[in-house]
Amino acid sequence: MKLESSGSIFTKRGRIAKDNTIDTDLLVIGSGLGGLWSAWAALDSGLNRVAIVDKCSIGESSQSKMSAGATVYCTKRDPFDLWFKELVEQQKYLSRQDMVEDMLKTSGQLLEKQKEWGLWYEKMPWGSPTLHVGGTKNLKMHVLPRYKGIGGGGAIVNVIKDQVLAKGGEFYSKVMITGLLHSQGKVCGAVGVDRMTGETLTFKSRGVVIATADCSFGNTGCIGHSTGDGYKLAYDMGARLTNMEFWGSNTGSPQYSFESISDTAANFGCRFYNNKGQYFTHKYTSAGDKAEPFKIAQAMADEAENGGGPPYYFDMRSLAWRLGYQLVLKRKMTGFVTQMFEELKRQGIDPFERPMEWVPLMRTIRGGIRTDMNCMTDIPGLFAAGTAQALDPNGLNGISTVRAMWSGQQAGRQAARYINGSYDIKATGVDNLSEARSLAVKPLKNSGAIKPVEVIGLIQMIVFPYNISLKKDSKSLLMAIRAIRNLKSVMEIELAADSPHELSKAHEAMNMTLTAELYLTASLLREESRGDHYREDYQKTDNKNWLKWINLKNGGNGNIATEIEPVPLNKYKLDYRGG
Amino acid sequence: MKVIQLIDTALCKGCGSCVEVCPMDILRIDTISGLAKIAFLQECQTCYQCMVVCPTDAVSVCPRRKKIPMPFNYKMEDDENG
Repeated sequence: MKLESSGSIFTKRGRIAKDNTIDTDLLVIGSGLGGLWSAWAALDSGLNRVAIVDKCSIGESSQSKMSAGATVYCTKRDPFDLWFKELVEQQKYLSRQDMVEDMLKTSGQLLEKQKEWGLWYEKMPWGSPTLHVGGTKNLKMHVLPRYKGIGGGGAIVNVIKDQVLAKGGEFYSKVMITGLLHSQGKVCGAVGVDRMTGETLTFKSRGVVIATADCSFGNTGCIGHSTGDGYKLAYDMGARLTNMEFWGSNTGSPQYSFESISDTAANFGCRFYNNKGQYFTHKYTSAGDKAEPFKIAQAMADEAENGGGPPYYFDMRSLAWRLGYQLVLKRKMTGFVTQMFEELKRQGIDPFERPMEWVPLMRTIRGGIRTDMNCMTDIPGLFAAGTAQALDPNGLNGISTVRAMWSGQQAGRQAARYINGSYDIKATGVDNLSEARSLAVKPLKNSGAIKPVEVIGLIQMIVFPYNISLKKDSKSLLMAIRAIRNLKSVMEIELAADSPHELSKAHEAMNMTLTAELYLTASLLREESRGDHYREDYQKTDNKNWLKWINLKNGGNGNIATEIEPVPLNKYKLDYRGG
Repeated sequence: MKVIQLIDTALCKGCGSCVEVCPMDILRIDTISGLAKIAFLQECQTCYQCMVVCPTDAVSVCPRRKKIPMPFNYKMEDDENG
């Protein structure tokens, strides 16, 4: 079986002046759901020129495309209050509740809009297009999107991509944005490099939306290209980032790209085993195998200390799961997971016949750029959408997708409003054009000895150990902070690239280094355990002292400025009631 | 460890679809042959995007992925302790 290909792969580049400058009203960086919805909403709000840039291909390489496309839509028939409460509780009361509320309340409209554009969802054998979200009691997600014969994340990406094209959005693929431009404190464009030729491009705009996804520190699971690019763009401009201590974990196969599937499979009776062939998750979490994904990952870390692993195993022999696969997934689901099942079978490996080795895996940083309800950052003219915007702790299937749609259209509409009301920034000139252009190609001109791939390997050795990622403690975190700062100082002198490919990798390495430092700094500050963030030396959740966000920003001279901000629960719909 | 295994030059038409969609930027069109080539093999993340978009089935991807960083691979320890 071969998966369906997506729609048009190639996109014609928009207008570029002879001096490699692109003039546009709004620049959108990143072309997953957050970026494409931003572009559509900005065009729909009356902007004439919107440029969408991606370091890979437009839409086709995005995290949204890589996903199965499962999305939580709260329709008129769904119990909003119940879903809202469950989501806020799952997010351990650190939710931006105003955003969550608006997202859920408008998600049904987003679904209807996409249906008007030709998107539809396959029904399950029992007649409904939804499944329960793994690790929750009430939340449901639409799981099998279809558009023009395309399935999975490709369907929800292509439906909005077509609408952006129809409205005249201009696409620029294979451009790595390396720095933002500013004028009198306002963002006014960006500089980037063409990944194929190494040429520098300048985008001049009156507003910018960052929709570059989050950071996986180069890990696989098909999100190795999420490298914290937008975090660094925003940080360098002085915007605050928040929730950076939360790093989403899940479980999966160490040998094959099976990830983020066990929470759904566990609902169909699949089980986790330790190295003695015993069930173990119930010892650490009352929900056992059906617990939220991060709790399974943490249970594996706990069991390791009791000698129960690694290795661990995931047993997919359950009859319900095999039937579900045959009746639904095999026939109707698309994405790399189903591709993987088929490729394994071709190689004589049947995941339904024997348990597979299974391990905890670190996915992506949940935090990101802090914005207001309008998705505007602290910097005038700079907006954030998708998973580049700070998400709330604890990843659940189907939430990031709807959040990206919501924040995308919100950022696009508000950016258009901002741009229509702002003065013509071109008249004031750009404050940092030559500096930004110089920094864009700096690694190419460096004769240093360290290659980006080496830096990325070192970052991974610093952040992935389980006493840094799954079960943190202050001693380990301090050592890791020292290590990442040493790496940063060496990199500033020695990081070099000798091709356009390496140049973009060098920028990714710098972006990941900053993300690692932000993750470690915030992790050390939060002296409690909450959701994905587990501190061995502060094992309890401390609602008395830590119903707070940790905000980080550029403090100058290589320092990170920190800020502790109480969650305004008294202004929110759902207050913490103890327990 | 294998990831993307092969681009069959007998089948490849040099359309560039795989180069365009590769999220890790590891593929290029060879300037001499005009066909797709694997330029940076070690960076492949086994996402199948190249295989999926290839109109002539010229690309093969092995499901076994390269060694990936994961929490149990190492522990952060003092230099003095090793």
